[in-house]
Amino acid sequence: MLDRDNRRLVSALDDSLTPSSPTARWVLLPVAVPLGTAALGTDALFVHPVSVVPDAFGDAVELLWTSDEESSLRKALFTPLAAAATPLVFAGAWLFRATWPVEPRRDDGSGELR
Amino acid sequence: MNRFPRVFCLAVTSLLASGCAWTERSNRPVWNAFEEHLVPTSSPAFELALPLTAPGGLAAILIDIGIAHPIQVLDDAADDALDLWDSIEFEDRYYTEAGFLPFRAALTPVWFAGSFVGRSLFDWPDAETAAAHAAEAEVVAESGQRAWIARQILDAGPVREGVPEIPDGAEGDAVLRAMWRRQHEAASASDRLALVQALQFMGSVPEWSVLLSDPSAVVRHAALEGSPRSFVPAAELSRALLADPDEAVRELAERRFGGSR
Repeated sequence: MLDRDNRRLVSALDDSLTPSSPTARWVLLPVAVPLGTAALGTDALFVHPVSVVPDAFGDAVELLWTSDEESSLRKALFTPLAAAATPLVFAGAWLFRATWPVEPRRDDGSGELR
Repeated sequence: MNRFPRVFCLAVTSLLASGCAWTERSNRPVWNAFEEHLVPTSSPAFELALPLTAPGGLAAILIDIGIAHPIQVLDDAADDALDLWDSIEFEDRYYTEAGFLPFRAALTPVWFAGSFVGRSLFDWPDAETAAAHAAEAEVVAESGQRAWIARQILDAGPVREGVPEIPDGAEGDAVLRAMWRRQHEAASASDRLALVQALQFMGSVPEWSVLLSDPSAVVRHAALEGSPRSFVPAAELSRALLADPDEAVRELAERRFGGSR
């Protein structure tokens, strides 16, 4: 939540509903505090975790199902292990991406957890 | 069972064990006053007064650790807690900052308590002292860097001399440039090539013109490659490089200056 890109809802409020005058900002503060807190909570608990699901899935696929070097036999032998590990790797990647500020995966799929 | 003796011993041990802060002289005002005004310095008065000064000194230590030093650090701990309220930008992030206000408010007493305990137990510098230390470290680093650069210049050139005392700031830069010129005046082509690299470390600008006019094409090429983008030679020198007898120098000059001339 310390990264602006991960605060979609509250950043949308900042961009569209911020009063222009300092006086109005101070007057509106009793409303802005609970609204901002609720928006931050919604971002942290729902919006951001949902938004990183595709990236977490991509991490799991890249780690377990993408290999240019293995032979067909090795891939076949590794498939059951990859199938069993996929939910675990996905869950771990999702939890990590939901908790820490991680760069999103790039469109060409070449991004990686940093 | 009476727990008081065990609790008392534990409290005293903890207070004495937390003497990390007490190792710094400025953190023990009561002890300093006691030692300065009440402890005899001459013998045998010092030995005769020991039955009084020893327990008095112990009491002074305990008062420093438990009362005096914690009072000293109250304002620094408050400053640390108030740092949480710095840089609130309502103009750019109104709802974000408003949403974080309850968290800042909840964290402030925790931050204060943690800073107060930490500063009471350990010798944490206050903001002013920390800034002074950082500035001093920067000066030391710069001095070390200048001495290192001087070593690079002397290693590159043919003139054997010891590393002189390099002053700080612009005066130090002038000393380095004078050293570089002395080495350059006596340097062979190979030495001048090594001096190109030393000049890169210096960050000085005017000497690049000297190297770009070097009789050796290898040195001219190295200087063209190594000179900073911010360096723009005089028009006459640029034209000479663009018409250089060496093909590689001409190509590099074209890439650097060709579009702007």
